[in-house]
Amino acid sequence: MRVCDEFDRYRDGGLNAAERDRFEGHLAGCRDCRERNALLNNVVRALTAVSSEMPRGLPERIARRAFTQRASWDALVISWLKPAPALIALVLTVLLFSYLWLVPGFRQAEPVTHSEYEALVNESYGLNQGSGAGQVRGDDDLLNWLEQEGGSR
Amino acid sequence: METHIRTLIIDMAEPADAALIENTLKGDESAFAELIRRYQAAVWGTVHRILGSSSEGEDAVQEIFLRVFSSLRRFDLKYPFGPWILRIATNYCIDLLRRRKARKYKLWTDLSEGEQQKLMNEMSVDGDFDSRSPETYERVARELLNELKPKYRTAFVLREVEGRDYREVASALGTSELAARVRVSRARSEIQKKFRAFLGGSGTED
Repeated sequence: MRVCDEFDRYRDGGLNAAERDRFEGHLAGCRDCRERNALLNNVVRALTAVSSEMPRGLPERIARRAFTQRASWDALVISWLKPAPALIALVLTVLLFSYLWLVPGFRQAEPVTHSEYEALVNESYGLNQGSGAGQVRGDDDLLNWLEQEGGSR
Repeated sequence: METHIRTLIIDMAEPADAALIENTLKGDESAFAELIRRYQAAVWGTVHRILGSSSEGEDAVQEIFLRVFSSLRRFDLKYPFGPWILRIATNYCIDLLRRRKARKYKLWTDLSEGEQQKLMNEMSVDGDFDSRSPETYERVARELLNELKPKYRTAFVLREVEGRDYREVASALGTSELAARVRVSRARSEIQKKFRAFLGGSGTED
């Protein structure tokens, strides 16, 4: 194994005293390992030298927010929805329904309402009471007649 | 002996994490605030060191503790709370770094090429920095870290900057110790590669 390969064990303090001495001797002569070691030392030093101050009252603010969010079910639902996709989905839904409403073929024929049905039944009874021809004698006759009358209207 | 007694007094005076968690789950807001107070410095430090941007720091810490709150029911009280929070924090930071991958920072546009070169040369030699502000060196270090993949960067910060052992690093990253060692090792090599690429790019290699 090359001495350079011991670099990580050296950084991690995993070498015994003799190995460490050997590696430090190697560092003096190996530009690559020396540069890497110094660079890492300086990066770590630079990152730890600057401290950022924590804002005051942060725990209380977070705890309040956590409990407020839990209390409100609508906030929970909204939190599931990402704003941009939700807005796009809403707009697409509105557009789709508008399109379906405007296309004539998509609108279903209006069903016969209850009052119209009653009017037809009464009409058939009126026919029964008049001339004997075309008398309605049973349910089958009534249905046949309704089909004919409904189709001719 | 004195330390032991002090620890004992603290243990008696302060409720254990488990008690605070149970009270939080029962709806005690102040218990959760106390839990945050205990871990906010650790989370704040880790987030700040990994993300580097103080403007994002507060939002990130808030989001991390909100994630902790929403997952609290799933936490097994048999285990210590600190590593669990650290794992949530590092996962959050890695997610955030992956999302902002496309963004490029150039934090030293106010320096001339010669000054940048001098700065980088100082970074490659052991010894005291010159009289520049610590923030300047932090910017250089950040510039190098920004080039690393999020998983390498996080592993590097946990191990090298925070001095955590590999067991903790592995636990925070959700990997094996061996994988954690590999990530830290790659991060070390990558930092040197990026450093040399910068020196090469500026056209004044020694």
